[in-house]
Amino acid sequence: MPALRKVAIVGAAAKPPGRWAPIEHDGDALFELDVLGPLVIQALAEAGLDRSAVDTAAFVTPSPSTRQLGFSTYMAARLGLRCKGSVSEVSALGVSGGLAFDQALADIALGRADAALVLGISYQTNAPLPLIMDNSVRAVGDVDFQSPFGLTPISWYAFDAARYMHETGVTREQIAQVAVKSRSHAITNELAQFRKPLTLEEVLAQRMIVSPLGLFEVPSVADGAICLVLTSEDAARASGKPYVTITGRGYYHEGYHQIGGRPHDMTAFPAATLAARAALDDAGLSLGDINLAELYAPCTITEVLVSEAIGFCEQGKGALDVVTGATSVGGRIPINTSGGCLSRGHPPSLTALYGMLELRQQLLGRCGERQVKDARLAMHCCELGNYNAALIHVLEGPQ
Amino acid sequence: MTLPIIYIDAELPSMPRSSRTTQPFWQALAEGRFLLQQCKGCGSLRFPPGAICQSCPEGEAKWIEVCGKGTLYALTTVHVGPPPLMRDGPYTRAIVDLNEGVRLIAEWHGDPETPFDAAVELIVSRYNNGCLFGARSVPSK
Repeated sequence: MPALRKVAIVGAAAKPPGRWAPIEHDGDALFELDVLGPLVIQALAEAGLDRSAVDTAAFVTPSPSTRQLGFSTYMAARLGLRCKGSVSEVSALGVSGGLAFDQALADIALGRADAALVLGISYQTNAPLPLIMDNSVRAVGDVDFQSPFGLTPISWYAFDAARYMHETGVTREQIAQVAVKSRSHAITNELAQFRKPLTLEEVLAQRMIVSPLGLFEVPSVADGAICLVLTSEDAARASGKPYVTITGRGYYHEGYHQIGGRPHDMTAFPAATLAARAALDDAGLSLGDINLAELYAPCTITEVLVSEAIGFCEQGKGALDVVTGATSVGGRIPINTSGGCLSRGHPPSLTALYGMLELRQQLLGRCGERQVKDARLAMHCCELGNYNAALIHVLEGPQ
Repeated sequence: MTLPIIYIDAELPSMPRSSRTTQPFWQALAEGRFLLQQCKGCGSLRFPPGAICQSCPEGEAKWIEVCGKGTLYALTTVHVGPPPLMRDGPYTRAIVDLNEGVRLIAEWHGDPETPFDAAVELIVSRYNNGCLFGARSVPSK
């Protein structure tokens, strides 16, 4: 087997997450191809590539409300692709986008592909709420021994928040600062779903959704569509265009699905700890080398716990670091400069790709007012179900 | 060792399935008894019930009855959930650690502000169409 090739992100295009899914039979609707197709063309154009160069297309599995099945092969055909690497549809809850990225990364690293697309479209807001709820409680629990109790995905994070507050004495108000910080970042992000300034008082005044988390402490439903283009670093360098490379990757599944049959510290998220260590080892870096991070964090508490698990913040200090601005742009370690799930938006299966896109823009110095100064190394983390698994990539910008 | 049974005059919207493996658990629950599996190979306790052990190759397990006493790990009250479950408004769920070292999800029958780590006991909630399990604070003597 040949030596692994280093991989670069050379193009990207995305539609802001939001409520734009079509209502079927509406003559004005835009269906999956109508939205994703132009993004693919746009991302390839930025990379200076023709679609004939694409050897691999790694799709994120679309949402259950998508009518077209056999999605990846159908869409490859409609996009006019002919692929010698692979055409696939990848799915594993919140890790979906990260694993699709991994598939494209591996095809290029192994020499199976010279150019690869990582892409997806997710319609969430056109599905009836009962369907979304029924699907989500079945996804995040044992269908016989947990789902009948009606635990939605965010209710598991609510347990985390309640237990964390009990153990640390940290208050809901302090954790809620994550929502305020996220919004302050999103204000200048043209890809963000929510960009209006937000105060702590406004966050706390919202109705309760899953105690102790209110409406603005949990994610809104969102549709999303995004395409990233990857090539080998050699090809990226030869193109003369700006690019970022992937220098480290780590993954860990801790063997739980929400909770296991035996008690464990639910707020510790060991999968994130171990995946981060593996990714940094792979990159030959230490955590202190990282300049910024995008973390898959659907709720305020999630960002706090992942920041602690990876080691960006001391145990029990994750929320306090948000309060002091340590995780804001200009702070010690800016986290979720995109606005994260709460403000940039959260189409769950695609959230990881939006996070990767933000890191690329930061590393290329394209983020204007929210630009992290001298950003050169960035970490991305995505997860499935209460962080029972985490997938982490380290990205490096131009020297 | 029989658990308290609470009668709820409503239909459970999402019924647990009963399989060859899990049927003894649900049948016992309806009679007020809470069963765990114990692996015949390594002796580890298994919940939810299943056809294999997570720790060793042994598939066979024996059923043991537990008293249903434990501690409260965490609570949350769901204010936005599947519509059929929201008929009577928000509902509270608990993570309970049984004294035998098993963690499970349960309905919470009691004050949603109950402090964590409190002593709790399991109960059976009997709906018109089937049973689930719940937990509540251990009544003071």
